[in-house]
Amino acid sequence: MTPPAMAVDGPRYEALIFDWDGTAVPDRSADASHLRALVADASRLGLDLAVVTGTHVENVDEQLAVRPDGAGELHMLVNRGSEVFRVDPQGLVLIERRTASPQEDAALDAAAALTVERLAQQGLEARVVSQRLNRRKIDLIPEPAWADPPKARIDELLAAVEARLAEHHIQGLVAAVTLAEQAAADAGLAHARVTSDAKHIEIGLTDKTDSARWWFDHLWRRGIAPEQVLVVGDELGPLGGLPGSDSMLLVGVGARAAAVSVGVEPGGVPPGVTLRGGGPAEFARLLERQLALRRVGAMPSVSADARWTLTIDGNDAAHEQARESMLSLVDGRMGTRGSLVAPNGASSPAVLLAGAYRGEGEESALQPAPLWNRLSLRTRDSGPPTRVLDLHAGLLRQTFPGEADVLQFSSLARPGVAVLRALGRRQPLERSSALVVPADAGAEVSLDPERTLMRVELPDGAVEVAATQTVERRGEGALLERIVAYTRTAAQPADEAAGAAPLLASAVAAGREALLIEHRCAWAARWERGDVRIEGDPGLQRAVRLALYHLMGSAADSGEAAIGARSLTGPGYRGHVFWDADVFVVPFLAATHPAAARAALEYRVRRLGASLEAARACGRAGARFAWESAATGFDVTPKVARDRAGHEVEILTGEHEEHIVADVAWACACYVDWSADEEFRRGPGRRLVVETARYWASRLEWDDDGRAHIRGVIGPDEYHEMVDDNAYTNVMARWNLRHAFGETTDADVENAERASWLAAADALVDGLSAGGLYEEFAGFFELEPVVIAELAPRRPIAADLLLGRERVEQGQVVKQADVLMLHHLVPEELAAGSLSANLAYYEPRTAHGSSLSPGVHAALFARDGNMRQALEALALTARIDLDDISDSTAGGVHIAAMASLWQAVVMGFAGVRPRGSELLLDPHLPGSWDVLEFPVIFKGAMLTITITPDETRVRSDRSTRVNFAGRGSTEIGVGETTFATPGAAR
Amino acid sequence: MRVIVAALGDDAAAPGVVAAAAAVGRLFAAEVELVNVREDGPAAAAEAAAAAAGLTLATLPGDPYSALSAAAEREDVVALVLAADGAPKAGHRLSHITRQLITSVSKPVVVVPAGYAASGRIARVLVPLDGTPASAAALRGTVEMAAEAEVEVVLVHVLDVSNLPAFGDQVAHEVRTWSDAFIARNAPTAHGARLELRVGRPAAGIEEALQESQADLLALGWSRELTEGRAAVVSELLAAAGVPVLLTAATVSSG
Repeated sequence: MTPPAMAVDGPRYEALIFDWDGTAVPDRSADASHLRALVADASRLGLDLAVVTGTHVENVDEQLAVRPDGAGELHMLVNRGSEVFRVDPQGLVLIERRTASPQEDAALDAAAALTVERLAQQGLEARVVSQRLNRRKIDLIPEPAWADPPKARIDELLAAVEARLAEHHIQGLVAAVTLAEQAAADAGLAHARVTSDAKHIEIGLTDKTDSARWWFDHLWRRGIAPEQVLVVGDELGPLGGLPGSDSMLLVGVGARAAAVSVGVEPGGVPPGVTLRGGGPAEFARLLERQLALRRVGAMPSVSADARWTLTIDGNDAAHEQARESMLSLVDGRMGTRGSLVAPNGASSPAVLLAGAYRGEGEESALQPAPLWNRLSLRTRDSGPPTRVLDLHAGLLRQTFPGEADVLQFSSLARPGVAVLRALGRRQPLERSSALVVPADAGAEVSLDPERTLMRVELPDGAVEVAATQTVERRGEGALLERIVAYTRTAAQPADEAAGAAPLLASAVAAGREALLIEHRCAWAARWERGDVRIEGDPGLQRAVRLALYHLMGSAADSGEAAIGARSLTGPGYRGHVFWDADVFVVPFLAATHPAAARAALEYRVRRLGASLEAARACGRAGARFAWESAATGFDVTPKVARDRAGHEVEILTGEHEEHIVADVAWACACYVDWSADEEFRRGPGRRLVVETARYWASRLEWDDDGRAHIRGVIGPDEYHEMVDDNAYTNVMARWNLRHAFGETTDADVENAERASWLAAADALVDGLSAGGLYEEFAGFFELEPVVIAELAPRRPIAADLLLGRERVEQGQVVKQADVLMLHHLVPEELAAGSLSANLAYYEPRTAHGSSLSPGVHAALFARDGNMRQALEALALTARIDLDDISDSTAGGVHIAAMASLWQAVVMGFAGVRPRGSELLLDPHLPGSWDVLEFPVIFKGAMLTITITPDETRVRSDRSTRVNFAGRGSTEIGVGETTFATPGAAR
Repeated sequence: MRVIVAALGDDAAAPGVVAAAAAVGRLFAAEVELVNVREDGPAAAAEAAAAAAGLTLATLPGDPYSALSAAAEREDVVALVLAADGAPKAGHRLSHITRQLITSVSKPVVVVPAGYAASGRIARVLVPLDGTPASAAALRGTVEMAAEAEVEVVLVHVLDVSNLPAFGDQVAHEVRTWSDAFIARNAPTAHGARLELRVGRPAAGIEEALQESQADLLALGWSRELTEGRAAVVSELLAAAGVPVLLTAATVSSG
């Protein structure tokens, strides 16, 4: 929405690429001082610019002579696609150069000579006039009258050249170019780029498509989508039957950019290109308009690409709170629900800071922080609002037709800093408060009105919020800019530098455009390392990206990260931390953003003390991590609850769901396997692994036959409580003991103790029975053989409500992946080839009464080659929050389910997992997918894995050991290695 | 001025209807108007009940259905209060007139069970919600009215095979999170209300919640149809509830 009577018209673009000769300047001798000033201003106003030209950089730089010093970048894409320079305050910086080999240079010479020769054979005199970097230029009309024609006379030039060609029976410019292409091929240049500007033919190794490709890639890494870019040229339309040279900027992703021609364009312009004419003067006006838009605070655009956005139109009270969860802005430290800034009765706005708990014990919950996302808008008469969450850039745009246009972000570059910008009617904006105390704050909140500083006291410190806000008139409307900073401080902060005020001051000093740019760049960098691209299923693609967005925003990458079951997107589960963080979220973080995985483990490291105490309290050694954890690390599992049948039930998980101890150790190993962080491995990681192993060693009960048991536990299948020898618990404990042995020497732990771990591991019963089937717990096979898949009207379903608790307890109804979870996490611990049998047995018995279950099954079905069931389970997992399957997304997104979606695709369908020094890769691509592509970081190597039906390509920036499809370990080098994809699965 | 019309028969149910009307009147913030429809002289039992409550009794001529329908449709009337059936040993069946009225008048109708003994003000109302927009819309006014009158609202939702949740996850948290979401979707103005959940037959679940919550009033949204196969839950509850039942017509949501 544009406020009434704005002085300029939009839209605002985030980047501008323009041709030089004929577009920005009339010729190379023209005075460019006005343009210089505009370009300098553009940088200060945060607008990225790029000059694209066929000439060399010195020509442009001498004429433009600018040294930008702002947040907006200036690039020069010169020598017709062969070079890229960035212009810094200090001067030119070469970014990229395509260097021809001697053979290529020779071939270019030969191609040019051959072209001239063949033209001469037709009687046409042409001359090689220039040997530029990676190309040769042939003058088709070497006559003094046409020595240096201005662009404004392009139509006359074209007519003269065509006439000259026709005199020698050459059918126009197209024929001349075709002749040159043939000459190039004959000279050994199979993929020569042959272009023409009417006067010349250029034969080269690159052209403007290379410039465009580089530029749009670069912008994407700065968080700018093609549709946010303006392309300006003077040769966007055809010239003599050939594509105009500037049209090469609109190929590929560039086709989504906006395009304007300021040229004469004798052949017209293609559809989608706006013809303005007017030459360089019009270009200057276009640029001036863009700068004016920025000065008045015009709203930055967000992506329009449905693959990268979540759009919510209108008001739907019934689904509003679930939508708010999905639209949340997250930066790893802070989450802000995507509530309408002008909330209605259905809204449930909240701002939550990771690890900032109030209350104690099971009553502890994330403290609602002051709200920064409220405006006093009058929306009764405005049209239905629209919210667009740009996942790639981490921006939320809200539009209230006729009332206001709002942009928000929570800075990933400066976690804790959030920005709100609004354009709208003046009075409502002037009435809007920067910070609002939420109704459920329930805590001591102090406000320093002069500094707009709020402080919310917590048991172990405080949340501090500082805010600044300006409202400036803009015509009949106003521009509101609000910057806020949230910090968690200790109970007695030692120095003010740690508080919100200095964080705010730093953000304000950076300026609004710089904050936006650095935030977009930070998100783009995360996506560079964490995106998953699936071609062939657009709905799944968007669901996966929504999941990845929330995963990326779920954890800080320094200090500690407390990843609650609903992340920072809602009050559900009170922000308490479960195994969701360790075995679901950590693998994603370890593979894509190791620093965040390290922070998630730091949460456990800092609670080792409480865990040691908890073990002692129950007479055990080592560390007993809490099933449900919050601030202190002591267990905060509720002891009683009312179930959905209205019965008060005792909650035993806190006391008996002990597999969390091994899950924490597994997360440590997973992180080390991906990252090779030796400091962690030898330091706190080893400590965690040792103390968890000690717990298991002390937990075992030995029978007279020398076998070890773990009795009275709850496994992942929580329908069955107080069972003995739960396979998941026992096998994970066994793995934990063996892993601890392998991670220690007698310098760390006495050999006798280490040996006892091995002995205990070997003695632990694991439930393996004939045929490779693992008994979920002792006596499971004797239970009533209830096959829930046959009984239930649908799955997933809460089977305990369908059948009653008693029948479920006494029957073979499994809540979620239990034995199957072992196949997912520690397949090497299990009998070889046992996956199929256990899948066939347990999956029909699984009610999927947990949102953690379907994704694991999707991964396992994919590994087992059962694509139909794999895709069904994957589709279900992908829709858990989008369709609010649980009817509880209002309380926050299911972050572990989202992580299981990534695991299903990467660990399941792509079969990627680290194993020691090698990365396993065993793809099973569904027939409906054309491409599966994703990056991972394996022991510091940045890998991109691209899987198609025919081949799997692994691109790496350093030597890496890969084991493809079980064919043995191979060292792949820098660059791309290709494998033949195994045959399509059933 | 808002008015509640309470219809007294010349029978043992009259005192119960008077007491229920007085309590409901406070909930609706309305004055109570007692009426008796008869052609042939005073109704002693009705007059006695009115007098005991310190209220006057108006006598309406004509046939009871027409007279009470007309009274209910007055602009100032916000609800009608009726006995389920005034006949001795009627049990909990509905009289013919009551059936006619509850299926026709557009205003909320409070049906007072036979043998209802007054307990003073309504302190707690049980509001079953089936999760549909129609149910939520029908009972929104009741919920808001209760909040205004500082009457505690207890919501109840009965799950059956058709609407069992997909995931149970961690029961203590999931039930709370699910319940909060349910209330937000279906009764967003019921601030501070608690949600009781049951599994099984809707009528049985509601009855159980009614007994456990010790609610003084049961509020139901319904279609106003008592034909075969329709409103079975409402029928069963009207027969079984030992407290007045407030019936509010549900309309299809236009949103």
